[in-house]
Parts: sequence; structure tokens; C-alpha cells
Amino acid sequence: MTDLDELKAQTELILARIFPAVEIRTIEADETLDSGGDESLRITIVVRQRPPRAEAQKMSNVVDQLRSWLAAKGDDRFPYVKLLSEAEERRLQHAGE
Amino acid sequence: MLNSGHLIELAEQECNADTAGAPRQANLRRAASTAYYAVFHELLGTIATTFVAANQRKARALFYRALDHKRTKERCKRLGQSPLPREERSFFEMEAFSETLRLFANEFVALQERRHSCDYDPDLKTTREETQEIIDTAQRAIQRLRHAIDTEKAPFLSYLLFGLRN
Repeated sequence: MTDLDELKAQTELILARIFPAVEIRTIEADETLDSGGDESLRITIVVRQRPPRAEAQKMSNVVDQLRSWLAAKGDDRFPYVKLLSEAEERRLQHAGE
Repeated sequence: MLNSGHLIELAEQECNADTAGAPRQANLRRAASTAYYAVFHELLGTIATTFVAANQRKARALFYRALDHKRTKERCKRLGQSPLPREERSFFEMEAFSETLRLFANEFVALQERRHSCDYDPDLKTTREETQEIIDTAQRAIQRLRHAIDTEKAPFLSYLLFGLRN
């Protein structure tokens, strides 16, 4: 199984390649079960500012490249990637109904 | 067949609902859930129209209803891999599907997982920006499916219907 620190480093590498202008603040990675009970990976990336909406579609390429990297290590767990800006993260801490 | 474009419009309306103060979590959750259903219905419609002639209404209805959520997600997980898992690689005689269908498959998996959280996770909190990204992802997934080349689309959809027999 993939080491989570290695996964975070690889996520950062891929993200920097695909979104060179995005400033990464934190990357968290956890092992979990998804809604179907499959072993999965959850990655939460907090950036200073989200990439422009037109460029955000490249997040799918981040998942694609992560899957290839994981597959090369014999790891077929699906990486669920979540991207938040710092401002969103702050708002989420106080979100009501 | 349900119009996936109309479902996307509905999701946009929920996401951008004019409420006082912060957007309501209920609106944002409904928006993300509806966005997933837009993709699911697009997929169902694509299967029905790909494999059944227009004048075979009953047969089309059966094909339209042939997929279930869980199995489709499991199969999309496999088809979204590059390289494909060994069994699929051997069957399809190729390393992987094109990027268009691979990204569709992975987007489907992520959207369905999100739909599940929106409908069942009491602790989920989300933002309007995140929800908008989910709707945009659903729109792109629909476009990818529409623009996938037929020679790849037919085996891709057939696998979603039938999988591989052991």
C-alpha cells in the first residue's frame, strides 16, 4: 500500500505541474472506505486561491495522473480529491445549515 | 428520456439560489446530487440510443433502465485506470481507453461518491464554490461522453452493461 506522505508529495508534484500558478497551503491524505465499502484514498488540498473556473477542469487530470501513479505501485484504490481555497476552509468551520 | 441539460440547469439554480446570508447547505447538497443525476441520465440515454433503434420504444426503455448506480461505479473505477486492470487489458487488447472516456469514468466515480455524501452524510458541509465545481465537472463529463469516438464508446458502454464474465 502506498505511503500517505509519498502520496501527498506526488499530489503536490502533479498539482504544481498542472496548475503552476496555484499556491498550495496544505495537503491532507487519509485511507478510508468509500460509500460502496471499497478501500479508497481521500485527499484534501487547500490552496490560497482556486484556479480560474475555466482551468478547474484540469482537476480531472490530477485524478487521472494520480491513478496511473498508484497503479504503477500496484495500488488500485480510488483517490477522491477535494480542492478548497483558504477562504472556503475558514467559512466551512463556521458553516451553519 | 430525461434531459440532462435541464438537470444541470436545475443544479445551477439550487447552487445559486438567492437566500439571505450564506447559501443553505440543503440547496448546495441538492445541487450536487442533481448534477450527478444529470450525468447518470445522460449515460442511460446514451446506452439506450447506442444499442436500440428509435422505433423500438420498449426495448429502449429496458436498456435505459439497465444500469444500477453501484455496479456502474465499480466498473467505471476499472475503466478509468491507465493502464487498465490485467483482465480488462487482455479482453480489450489495449492499454487503456482514451483520455476522454477515462476522465469520464473517473468523474462519474467522484460525482457518485459526492452524491452519496450529499444525500446521507449528516456532517457534510460544503461551499458554493465547491458545488459549482461539481456542477462544472458534471457538465464536462456529459460533453466527454457525447464526444467520445464511437469505436471506443460501444465497448465502453457494453462493459458498463455486462462487465466481463469469469
